[in-house]
Amino acid sequence: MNRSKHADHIVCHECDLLQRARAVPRGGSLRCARCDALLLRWAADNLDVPVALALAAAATFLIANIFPVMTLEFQASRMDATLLAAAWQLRAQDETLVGVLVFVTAVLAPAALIGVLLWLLLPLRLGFRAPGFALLFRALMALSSWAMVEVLMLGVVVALVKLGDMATASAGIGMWAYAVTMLLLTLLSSSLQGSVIWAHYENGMHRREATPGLVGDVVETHS
Amino acid sequence: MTTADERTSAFSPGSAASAGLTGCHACGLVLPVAEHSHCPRCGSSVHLRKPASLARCWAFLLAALVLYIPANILPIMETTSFGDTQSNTIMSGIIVLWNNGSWGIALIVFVASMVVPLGKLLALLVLLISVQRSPLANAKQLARLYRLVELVGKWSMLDVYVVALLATLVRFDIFMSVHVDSGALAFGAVVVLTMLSAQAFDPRLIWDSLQIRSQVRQSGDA
Repeated sequence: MNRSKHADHIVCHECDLLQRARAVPRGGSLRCARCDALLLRWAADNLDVPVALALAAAATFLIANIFPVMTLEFQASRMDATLLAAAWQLRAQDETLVGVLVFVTAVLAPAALIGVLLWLLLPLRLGFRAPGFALLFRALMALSSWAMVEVLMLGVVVALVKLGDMATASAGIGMWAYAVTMLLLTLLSSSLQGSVIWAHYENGMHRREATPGLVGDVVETHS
Repeated sequence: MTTADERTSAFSPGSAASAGLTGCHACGLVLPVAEHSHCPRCGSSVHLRKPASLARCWAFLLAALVLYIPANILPIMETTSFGDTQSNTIMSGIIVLWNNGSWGIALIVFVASMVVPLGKLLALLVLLISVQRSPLANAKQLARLYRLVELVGKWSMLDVYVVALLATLVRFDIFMSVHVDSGALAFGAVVVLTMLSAQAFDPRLIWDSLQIRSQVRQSGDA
């Protein structure tokens, strides 16, 4: 597939300003000349780091959902909370919709986000295109805006403080695994650019050849 | 009423739309709009501006404004300890934290649960009024406001998670238990609806609306 004949231009996704493309400085980023929106961040032109981070995130997220994020001890009894149990408990209390909200934002969306990234990146790294590539790429944006791993982390901290004066509350393995997942996802989003994914997609098997200028271009106003 | 997204002739100067081009909303590919209904690279539907942006933004915002009232009046959880039952709203929960001496956490919850939702509702109103009526700030400030709304949106979910965790952990029969109450659903709905409203808003209209106003001014002078 050929690159668009307008490949020497970039359009700001926030204010629609058409700008001439130029290389992103290494380690830096490029901003829109008119509205200052972040257009591109520098990202390495290989998928090794993103694939490694996505694999690690899949492992830590699995652990985060198997082990309790919090444990509460009161007299002789002891209660654990995994995230799935928390969503299920809301259902048991006739607050199914709140349970769905917790399940979708804390479990389903992050799991799907990590899963889709692996589905797209792993085959690309190995030199072929995954089925459903375009559809799943489009899903990435929605998934990342509804995955709220970092908010849940803060929620656990607040819950620990709130329970502190009632009983003995402690963070579980799940919470630490969740914290690592959060860190990995943050690193992943800063080490990956849509333009890099598409450069690999379009180059297909020839990705090992040098592809100067394909990744991270910008900026110079048109008007 | 004339809205900015209905007047398709008026795009901001220098914009891709005024040159018949658009950046694909999903993958960023620069395309001539006339030749494509879908992006040849990622298959996303191609349009110059988000379709019905302002109508959808208003609809989600008004729904959020209505639910904001029960979200703050109704209790979000009910705590029973040794036969003594206590209901807490979002605000009373923050006051309890403050009175217990957890000032830092009280402040964080106050910002996430009170400042952010209210600020988001006001910011979206400011953006909509600025685009449709008269600008309440200059375009660069409005663009910054929009980015802020997008950035802080999800943090209001904090209290929903806290309530869910408490209800799961505090289940010691008659000694102590926590139940989720109806305010939690209203509050969660406000968070979701304001996020949908912000996603529906097309920030390109901020810059287009300047162009429309200058055209109106020119035709008024002539």
